Amino acid sequence: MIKFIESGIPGFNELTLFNNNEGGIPEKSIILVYGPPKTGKSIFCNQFSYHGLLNHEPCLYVTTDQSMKQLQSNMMDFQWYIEDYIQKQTLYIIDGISHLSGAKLIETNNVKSSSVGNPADMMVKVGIGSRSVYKKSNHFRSVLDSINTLLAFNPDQMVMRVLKAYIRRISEAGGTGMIAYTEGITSPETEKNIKSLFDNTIRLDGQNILYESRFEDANELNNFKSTYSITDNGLVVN
Amino acid sequence: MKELLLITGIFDRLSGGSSSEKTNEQEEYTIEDYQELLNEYKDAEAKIRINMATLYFENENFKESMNNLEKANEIYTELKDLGKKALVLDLMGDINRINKKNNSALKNYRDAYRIYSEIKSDHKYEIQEKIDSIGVSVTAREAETIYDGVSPKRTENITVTKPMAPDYTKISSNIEEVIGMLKGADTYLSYAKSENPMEALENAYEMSGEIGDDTAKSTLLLIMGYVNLEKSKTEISLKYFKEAFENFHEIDDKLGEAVSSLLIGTAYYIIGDMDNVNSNFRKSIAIFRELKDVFGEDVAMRLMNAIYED
Repeated sequence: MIKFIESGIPGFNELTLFNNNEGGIPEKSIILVYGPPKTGKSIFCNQFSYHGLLNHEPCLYVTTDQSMKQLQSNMMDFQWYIEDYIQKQTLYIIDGISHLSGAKLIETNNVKSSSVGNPADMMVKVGIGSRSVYKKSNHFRSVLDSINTLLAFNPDQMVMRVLKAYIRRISEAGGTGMIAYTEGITSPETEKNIKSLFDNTIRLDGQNILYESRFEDANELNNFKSTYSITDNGLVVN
Repeated sequence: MKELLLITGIFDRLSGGSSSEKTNEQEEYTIEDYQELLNEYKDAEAKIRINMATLYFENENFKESMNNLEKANEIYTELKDLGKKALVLDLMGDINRINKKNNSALKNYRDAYRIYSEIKSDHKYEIQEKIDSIGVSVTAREAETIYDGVSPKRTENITVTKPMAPDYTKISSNIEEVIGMLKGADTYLSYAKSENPMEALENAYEMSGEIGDDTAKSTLLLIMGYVNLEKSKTEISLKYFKEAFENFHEIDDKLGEAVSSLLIGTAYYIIGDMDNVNSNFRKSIAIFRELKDVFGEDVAMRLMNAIYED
């Protein structure tokens, strides 16, 4: 029987009710959150991770589009204050972008610097990070926001392998994860290959949310569709 | 004595005093005449300085000896007297060598050799022997520079002696600088400083293989070799360096090949296999030149100089 965890997005759990009257994010799954630019994908991922922290679920956050500082600032815009969780080491951050601008990140036990141009190092740190959060709780969340910069700096084939490696590590450790991706930034074939890695996908187009889910024991795809809006408190599914 | 007579004679001429060589006509001196006189004074000074340098040397006052030779060198440079300049450089090289300042001696001898070659003097062969006897290995490029015009057969016999093994701590920063030229290397070098460096590096190596990052894989091999070199496991390090070279070659990464060759040469140097030292250093420099990588060549030369430093 599939277990679900709360998404943290108001209206989402109700939208995605399955036959057993449960909805939300399938536990131990990895979900692709994709769509055109500026449609709330990062907000969705941030909201998901913050909700987990509120419920004592540690989080491994890999940020490749925004620095750790920017992440903190963007989360604060919605009154999601993560500093405390960083201090308590329940939020483990891998910053893959600061290094490129030459900014010096002060590394700690749960704040690590890497580089999108160095995916092997990034995945080594994902491995270490997933072990670290697993030690705190075997119910943990993970976010990779996003694939875009990885594609900008590395060959498509390598990024595909990186994604597989990431998915494998989080899954093996029992985590539930989200990966953000902006449609149209890579070739149609690569995009198709990326989507094929996921049994669960969420598409945000600025107005509509489409959740597609396929389970191992089901042949058909479950579709859930609605509209959504971005408020001062984050994303809300209508 | 000769110099004193010369000076006396010049004063006689200027004073207009009687001399058996004096002509009946009143002599007029041009600027050129005075310039010639001035040059004669300078030449005399240079010769006196060389004599003084010799006396200081005999009294083991090497500092003053060098000071006088340097002044003589300046004079001959000004006078554009290449032959004498080369002679002075040769003497300076001898003094530096006696004081075990081999790098400085080598520079002096090289400069002397260059001049003797330019003026086609047979003294260059004496200088050649002195360079060889210091026992410094040179790259093909340097051989080309030094032995300009000498037959290639001669350049193959450049290195004849085995220098002392380097103090590893002195060259470790140079090795890191060399490896640091490769993409992502700085990050992986930090693994080498972790608590369990080989474990961290092997983990990263496995991950690199998983995601198909061949460049990272090869770089990690070099760093694993470096870690073993630090532990004096030179034979093991050589295996890593060679495997890295093969990998870089397979992916046509010339910079990686150049860096690997340098490290292979370094490992052979520690082992004492000088033939392979030279061939690998030459290969490395040749690749850097092919890539027009001046910075890389510079870094390579720093490593080689650090290895051969006193």
